[in-house]
Amino acid sequence: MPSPFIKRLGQVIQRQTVTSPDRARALLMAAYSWVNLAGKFQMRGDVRAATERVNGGIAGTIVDSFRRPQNAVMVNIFMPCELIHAMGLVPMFPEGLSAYIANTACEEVFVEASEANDIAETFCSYHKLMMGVAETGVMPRPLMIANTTLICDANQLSFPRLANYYDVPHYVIDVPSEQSEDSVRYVADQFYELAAMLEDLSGRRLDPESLREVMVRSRKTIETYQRALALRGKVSLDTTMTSELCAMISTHIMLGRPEALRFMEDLLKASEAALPRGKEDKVRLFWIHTLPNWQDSMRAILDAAPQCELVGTDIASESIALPDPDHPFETMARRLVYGSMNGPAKHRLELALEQAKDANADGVVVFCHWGCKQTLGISQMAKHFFEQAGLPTLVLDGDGCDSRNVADGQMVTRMNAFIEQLKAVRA
Amino acid sequence: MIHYSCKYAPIELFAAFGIDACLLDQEEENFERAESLTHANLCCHAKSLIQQSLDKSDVIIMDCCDSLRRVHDVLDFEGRQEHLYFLDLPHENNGCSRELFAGSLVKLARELESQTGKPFDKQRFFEACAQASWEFPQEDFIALLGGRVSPELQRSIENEMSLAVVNLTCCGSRGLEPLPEDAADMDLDSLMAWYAYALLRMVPCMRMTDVTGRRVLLEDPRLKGIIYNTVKFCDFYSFDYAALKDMTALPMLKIESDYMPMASGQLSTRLEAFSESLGLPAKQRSEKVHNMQGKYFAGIDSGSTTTNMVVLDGSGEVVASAIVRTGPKAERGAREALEAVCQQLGATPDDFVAIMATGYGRDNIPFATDTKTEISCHAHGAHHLNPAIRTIVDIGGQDSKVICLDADGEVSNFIMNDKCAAGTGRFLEMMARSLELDMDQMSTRGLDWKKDLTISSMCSVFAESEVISLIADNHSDNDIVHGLNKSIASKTASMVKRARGEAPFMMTGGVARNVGVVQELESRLGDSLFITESPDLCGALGAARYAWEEQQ
Repeated sequence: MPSPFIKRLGQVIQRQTVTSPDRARALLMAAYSWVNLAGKFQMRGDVRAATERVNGGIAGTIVDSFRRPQNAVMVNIFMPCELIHAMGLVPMFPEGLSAYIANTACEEVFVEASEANDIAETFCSYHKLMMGVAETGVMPRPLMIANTTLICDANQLSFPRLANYYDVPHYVIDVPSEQSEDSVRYVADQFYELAAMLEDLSGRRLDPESLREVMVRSRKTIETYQRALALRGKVSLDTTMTSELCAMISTHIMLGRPEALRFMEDLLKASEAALPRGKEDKVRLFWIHTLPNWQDSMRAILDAAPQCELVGTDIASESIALPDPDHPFETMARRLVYGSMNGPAKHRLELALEQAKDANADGVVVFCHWGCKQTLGISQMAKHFFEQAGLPTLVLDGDGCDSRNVADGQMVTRMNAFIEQLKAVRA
Repeated sequence: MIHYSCKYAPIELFAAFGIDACLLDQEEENFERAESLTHANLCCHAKSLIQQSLDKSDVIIMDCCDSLRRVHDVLDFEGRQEHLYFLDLPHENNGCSRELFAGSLVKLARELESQTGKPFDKQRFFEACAQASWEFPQEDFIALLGGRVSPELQRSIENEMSLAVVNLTCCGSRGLEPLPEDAADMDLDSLMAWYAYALLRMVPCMRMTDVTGRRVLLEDPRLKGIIYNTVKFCDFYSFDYAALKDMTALPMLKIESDYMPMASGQLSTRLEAFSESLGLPAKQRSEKVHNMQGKYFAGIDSGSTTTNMVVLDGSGEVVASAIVRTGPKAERGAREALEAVCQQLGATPDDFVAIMATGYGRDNIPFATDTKTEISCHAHGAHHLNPAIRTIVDIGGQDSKVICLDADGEVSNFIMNDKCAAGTGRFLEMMARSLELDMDQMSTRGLDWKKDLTISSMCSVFAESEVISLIADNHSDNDIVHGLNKSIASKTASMVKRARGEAPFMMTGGVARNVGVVQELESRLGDSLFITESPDLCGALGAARYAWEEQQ
């Protein structure tokens, strides 16, 4: 259960959503401004403090996109956003917002609003929730919408509907599943078109120097993350589900922004500081797909972490080739085309196995987020694949943001049994 | 033989190498094999495709959606095909995407050349392209739209409808543009550039970025109604359905299928009700002889839990009624109900002029003189009881429905829950069993609650384990029952919104006797519910009124 204060806040927001969406938005902005402020006062050097700092930055971005929606571009989580950062615009990323809403305990009213508007119950909860936030009038009208077809079909459904709902221009980056230089050229051409469209709509010029500066920061961020990952197998860190989600956002939407670079620098420092101590005697878990950081029972197992440690997530490092500031458009295209989430599942699984082994994982959890056909579809293959490589694997059904699709007690039993299994293997 | 599943598959290219194509689209008895290789919540068509592809030698999968991408991954992982092709399909239809797609087609042609040892045969390609066409029928018709339907389901629908049914779902409407005049002089690259263009120019399915071309499906003046199919765990078409509702005034029926044999009772209820709302003649039945010497008119509603009967006299007044358990056989329950009303009236079955049957068991009642769906009968009964009613919420044993009425009491729209039991009387019975309460206690316990619990699970099985956890945490019965009432009310209110139901509302069915659910539902709807003393009898009353009116 969320804390009594959060629960109360969630109830008030849900009530206001029905009667006065503007007030509900104001309450969400106040809550996320508080998260933003709290992040600024974190002085410690550990992973939790780093997480709170970047979490504050992400919350600040949400607040900015709500406060000045005329400067906000609604994007999906896999859209490279360096163009948007370089033009001084703000990304509005409703899938990320869904996770924040779930942590504010007010998701129900939004999910129900979507389902009442004929969205299938089996649809991805992140997208269902974000449409509810939009169509209840809580999320304001952005400047435009831009999304990639990667990594899932939900983008092809939710974003066109939202573009129609808000009556704003919409651009889709079509990402072919074939990983080839032809595909890179095809995608890069679309980024040029998107840049022209952003210039037209915002009345701002895309300054090549600003773009270069953002790309240099992206490169530094990825470089630093790669160094931190190289140490990950040798150390124990006080990670949480939220820290893994923040890593995911830092290598995607926030890539190119100072907050993302700071997070990776903090992560590297924490890893270097932990090096002399080496690894603690905890079960080390590598995670596939998103994480249910709203769920108290999972927090008790993974965040309080008396017995286990999250050592990595495949999405956070699915495409971390070094950006080339001299070729920004091709860099963004290459990130999408050659990312492990594109193309056949075996690319994704092979890279995840490499990362899990580098991180010295004892086992893998394949998290089947409700409605995500991409991950549901590979779950049994993944189990077989990782276990053949010597990594016991748990396929765990759950939901990244909608408590209604979760059998809490069953998840706890599965997680605990898996940890016991891994301990026994170690012994 | 190449096996395929998507209309964008380049089967004409295979024909150019003398390879015939076969569409994999059948239903499966169960998904045991597919679910052992993937996940239960994958699109049901994808699961059927996995099972049907496993023992095929040559299969092509288009990269058209997340589920089919994973079908390819599973087949690739299992490695049983001699040739497994996977073709990238652009989401866009513009110069760049056509060029990219044409490149993939040329690559495939080269691959086929080396595999078969045969050259690309232009003549065969042209013949195959000429055969790829579709057109609207020359008579009034019903369109099947939305997600693909299995041939088995299409046959069931055709059997129930008295108009022609045309399959325009994602896999129907496969047709190519006419070949260019200079096709014979074109080389392979130019022909594949045209072929890429022609494939991407087909009526778009919902995975394409620009779906405005789908409008053509609604433009034929002979189109009289739409049966809209969504496939369980395929998300594309619920979006299209939601948009279509605002775009067209044509009558629409939404069904959900899962590539397994469908419960025939539920499907035929919907199709018959749809036919009734279109004013189409009912399918042919053997005519029962009415006993013109009799003096009573009856309606009998054969539901999953109870069988309800209402009897009217010659002036249309209710003179008897009965509610009995249906039991395992609809016929036995119906006979018990008939005996009960005969006893009340001191009459025999020969005293009835007409008996109209409705409900799931309506076709299995031998003494009924006619049948009508419970959708129409509920509407008719409700309109008779209170002509102001515009929306009926009916929650029975195994299903829940929302029926919208116009000012004349005719059905203007209706929706029913699907196979899931959540939000039905069965759900409450399951939870009562866990709480060790009877149904009367379930009705009132939730009124006196202290802690506002939320039963969040959508699925009745999950909800049951949630209830058990709450019992284990020592929460009071009252609080748990209140949580359950909220859960049913929330699901039902959502259905009302989907159906665009308007006040005044009426509630019928056994669950209308549950005071707690009624109170929560009223609070969600922001309006009161009109409930009669015997809410279970509304459908039977409507049926009896139909029987009586037909003789007047």
